[in-house]
Amino acid sequence: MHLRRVSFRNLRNHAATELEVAQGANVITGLNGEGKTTILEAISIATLTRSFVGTPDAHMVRRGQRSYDVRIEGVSDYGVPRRIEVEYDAAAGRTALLDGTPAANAAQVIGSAPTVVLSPDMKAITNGAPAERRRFLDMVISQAKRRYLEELMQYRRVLKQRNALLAMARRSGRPADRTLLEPWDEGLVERAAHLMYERTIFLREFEPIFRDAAMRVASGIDRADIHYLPDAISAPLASVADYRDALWFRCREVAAEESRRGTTLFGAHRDDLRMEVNGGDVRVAASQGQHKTLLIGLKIAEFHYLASQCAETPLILLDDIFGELDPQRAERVYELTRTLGQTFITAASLDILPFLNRRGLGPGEAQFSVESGAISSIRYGQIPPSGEALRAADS
Amino acid sequence: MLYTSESLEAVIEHLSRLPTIGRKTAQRIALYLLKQPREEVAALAQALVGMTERTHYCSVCQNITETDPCPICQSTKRDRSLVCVVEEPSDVLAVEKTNDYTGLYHVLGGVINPLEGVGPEELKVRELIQRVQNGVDEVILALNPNVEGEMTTLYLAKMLKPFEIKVTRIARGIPLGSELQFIDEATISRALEGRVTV
Ligand SMILES: [Zn+2]
Repeated sequence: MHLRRVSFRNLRNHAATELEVAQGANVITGLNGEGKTTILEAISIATLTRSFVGTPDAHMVRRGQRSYDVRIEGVSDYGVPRRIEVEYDAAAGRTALLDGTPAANAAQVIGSAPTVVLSPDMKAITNGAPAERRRFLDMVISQAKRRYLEELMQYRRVLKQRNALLAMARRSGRPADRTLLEPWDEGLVERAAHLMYERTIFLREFEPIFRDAAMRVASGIDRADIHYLPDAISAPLASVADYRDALWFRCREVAAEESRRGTTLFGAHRDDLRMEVNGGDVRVAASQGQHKTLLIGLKIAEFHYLASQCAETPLILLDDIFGELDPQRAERVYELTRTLGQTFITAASLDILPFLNRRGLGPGEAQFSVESGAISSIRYGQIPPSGEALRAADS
Repeated sequence: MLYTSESLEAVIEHLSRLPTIGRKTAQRIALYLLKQPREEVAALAQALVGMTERTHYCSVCQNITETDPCPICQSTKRDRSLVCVVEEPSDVLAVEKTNDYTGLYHVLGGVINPLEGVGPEELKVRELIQRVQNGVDEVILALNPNVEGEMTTLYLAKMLKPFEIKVTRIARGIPLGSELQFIDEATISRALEGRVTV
């Protein structure tokens, strides 16, 4: 998949913005607060159903407005035109159209245009709390497998209801009624077993890809590993049935403590990942520089994984990551990602990408400047022959 | 803004308590009613009062009815050994429309939903157990295919187990008339799991 046009209205400080994008690298420059990241957020809203920044929809709407809309138009790897339109209205909520057809839910949109995002907040994946690593895990697998996303959404619902039941029992001072709790135990165990098994399979396929990608971008790393740590289970298991058994065992084990605390104490929402460099836990063994490059390696591996699982080449959104890299590494990451797929890159200024100033924009590259919520300048590199051919085929 | 007429305010106040109707819509409805002929408004008021006076829950199936038992429960053409459990009266209409079902119904009045404080006591579960005790051969659980519907199905299945009757649930899977290639993978994958011998 690559995009041809991105347009949106009333998103953050943008009133109406529309850009024809290049097929390779798109560099978006602008100072903080001018609205450059909003262009990446718009793409993320269309392909991942929400901004990667995590701002609630209500706060994404431009001041004084009640709704925003986003539209991306592109071409699939097979040459078929694709279109995603999203509209959010404070009263009516969010609606999405996939090639003009209303999408029934988020699961129908996610994965149709796989997207890899790297933003400054994602540092937490290598050095933050387990929730950040689960978010990473869920985002990747959800894009590759629709069933996973559905199970995940149901799992969260079951968990919320089960917690409500346990909390209610705790307030009443009596242990929860077993017959009432049992269906929720079963609902939780069934879905957790499925999620944990999918996570196991994912890690099995992902680990070699990650090891390879990390070695390519990071320096001073002889070995990089990533392991799945299922909640309260010492090592990943071989089947859904095995997970089901382990979860039922755990369910009975924590039952008394759950009534005391009034909340669920086992399940897929307590999983974690362990990342290692040179055999040591990344949180203690990696330097600041290694954290950054490992994260880039993780995202490049995510790209390769999604490219192999989905029917489409993923889009790559790199928000404000080059400022923290030394110029040589920045150039290497820029060139590497550009050869993988279509990239959308934000930077405070072109000084952060000095090689671009030196060599100028090449075929398939474009540069946009953003000032106070509007595009203030556009430059395209020459249109490559393949681009010409595509355009000719279009008309 | 408040109107200077107290009676108009009262109507707006009542209307805005209805589901999905905000104050703005309530104002619009009230002002519309104000412009209608007196007989029209009186007929509406009478219909409302008539509805609440004449309808009640069927003592057998808990559906909304004017006669007790309701026409379905009274019918001699229905198979009394078969009970289909649904969430709401509107679900009875949906199943009736098929013209394929000849058993009786049991309207639960919702599903178990701890977040909203709805447990078995808030639903017509006790009434269902009583009916089963009085002799039923099969209970079909036809609740909505969401998390709460599924958990309620599991709960009812457990509660009915001691009676050693046939308890079934409606199948979920691929809607008839749709081609496999247009069905999303998640639905196909679940339909495969729920496959039956032919
Ligand atoms: Zn009845």
